[in-house]
Amino acid sequence: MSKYLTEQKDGELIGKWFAYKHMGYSLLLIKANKKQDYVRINYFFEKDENIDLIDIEVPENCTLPSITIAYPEGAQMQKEIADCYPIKFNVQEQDQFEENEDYAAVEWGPFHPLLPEPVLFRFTTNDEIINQIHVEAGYNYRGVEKLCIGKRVPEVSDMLERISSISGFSVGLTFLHAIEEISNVAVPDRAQFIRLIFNELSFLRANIHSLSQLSKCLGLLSDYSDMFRIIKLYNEALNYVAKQPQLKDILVIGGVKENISIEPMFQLNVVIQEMVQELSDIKDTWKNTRSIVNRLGNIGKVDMSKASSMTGRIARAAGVDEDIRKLSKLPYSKLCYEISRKEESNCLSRAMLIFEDCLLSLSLIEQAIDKLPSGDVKAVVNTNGSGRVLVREKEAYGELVMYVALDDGIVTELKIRNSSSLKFPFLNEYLKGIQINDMPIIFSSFELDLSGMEK
Amino acid sequence: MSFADLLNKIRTYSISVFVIQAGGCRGCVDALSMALSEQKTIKGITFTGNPKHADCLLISGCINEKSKEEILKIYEKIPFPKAVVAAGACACSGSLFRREGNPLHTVEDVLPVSSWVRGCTPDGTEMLETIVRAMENVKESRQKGERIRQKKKKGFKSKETTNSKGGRSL
Repeated sequence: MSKYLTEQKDGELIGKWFAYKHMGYSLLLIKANKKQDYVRINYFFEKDENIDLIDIEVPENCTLPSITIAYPEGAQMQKEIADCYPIKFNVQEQDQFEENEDYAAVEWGPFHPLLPEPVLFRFTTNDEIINQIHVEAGYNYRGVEKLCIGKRVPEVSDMLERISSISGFSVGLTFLHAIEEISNVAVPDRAQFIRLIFNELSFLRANIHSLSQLSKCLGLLSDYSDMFRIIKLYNEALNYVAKQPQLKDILVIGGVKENISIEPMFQLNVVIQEMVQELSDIKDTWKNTRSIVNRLGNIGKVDMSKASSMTGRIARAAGVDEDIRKLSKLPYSKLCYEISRKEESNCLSRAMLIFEDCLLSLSLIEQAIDKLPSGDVKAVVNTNGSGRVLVREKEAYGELVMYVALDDGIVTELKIRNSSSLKFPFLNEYLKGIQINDMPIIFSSFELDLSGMEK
Repeated sequence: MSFADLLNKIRTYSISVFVIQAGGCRGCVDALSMALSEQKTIKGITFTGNPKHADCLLISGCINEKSKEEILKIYEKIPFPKAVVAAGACACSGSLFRREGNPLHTVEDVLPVSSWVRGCTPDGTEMLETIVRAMENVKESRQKGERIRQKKKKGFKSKETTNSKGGRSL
């Protein structure tokens, strides 16, 4: 039987959301957990690194007002809660497709051959212009989040590193930061620098992956094969420092598993120089080719008001000043860097930002190698701590937020919010009215990581 | 030459692989596609999106109840001779994700596996070599089976022909 909150309580909740909105707070995370016959929902808001919380308890099968009236970016997080807990949200249902002979209906996806995930597009076109669109995403990380409950910290860390090939390292690192904060572990300086190098390498891999997708969508097959050459260089670099082509089994609580001597670091530096050259050449070619500039410059324009609700390159391309590295626990403050941003807010500015971010990652790795301190790479730790913490870190495509609750060394609560959750709700709007052949380019410029599927 | 022989001869030169990423981190498939672009000795392996055009089914990632049925459907659509390769720790054993309360299947539980490539993440070149060997093994065993069948058939015919007086003996 469905229940509704009383009108007064509904009004109070909506009033609070709008109050936070007017005070300039942004929505950080929505999480829920079930206790006996009620569901507890937490809304986290953030402004200038101050985090505020709305905590409500509602009975099972209750219908709540939707946060999308104040914060449209919360739609995907809210949908995940509605799918996992016995609770409903008062969401306005999407319009049904009108059957019309003039329009061709197309279904694109799901890309996974087995599940309705990660994403399914349904759209109708008229003269190759999309006039109705409906995009659905599957669950992000749900399976792994649930698997981690009741497990000890090292097991959870191993699982989270395998959550996604794009941002798995960042997720594992963020979890360890949370545990280290709860257990008051001081990570040695050298370990922090080595973590920083690997973290930047993971961003680099994801960014090159994005560029290869974009060049494939543009039909630039020679650039696509160039990207593969750069990925080959990246693999070579990673083989020097990690002795494997994947970023797995590197992190431990309180540091890193193995020390890296100076010789592999020099070899890494040599490969980095080669990659800088290759990437700069491709960037210059794209910048000076009129057909690419015209094609990318005229599509995928995002309003400043919407872009400020999102995170990552899509926000920075619209002029939003976002530097998530300064929130990190890694020693970015000891390095010299400048985050680039653009004003045009189209696919071209986002593509140029990918190149600039790749070059920034390479520069940060180079600086970290120069400033690598000597000392231990592992601290002696006791992971039997208890507490709960919310950690914010940078992942390749934007901001990653993680909520961890630990009880005597056992994980009791885990919620991961990646950058895709904030960007996905706006996808529908920006795909409507465009030409069908621009759709892959705009979709790839949104940079969604929806791979943490049900395991 | 029968149609089946002709089809086998055509297939000797290239292998089409249908890849199923059954809920994983995508690391295995990334390693495979990288190896495919880098590899200079193994040529002629291509990915296909249509199971009816595939020779080999490569499965990576964990298989749950929901995906098990779909994998079986896809397997049935692939024409004979077909090989099944389980790539990566998740596909071979369920890896870290196969736990109490999370009933995952290995590929072996669901399908007849021709070859396994273990490791997290397995080597890309190793995966390519395994695909080639798995296809060779499948074809060899099929040819052996055909020879045995033909021998049996001949034996049946010779018995039939020798019995000239009384018509059909069996």
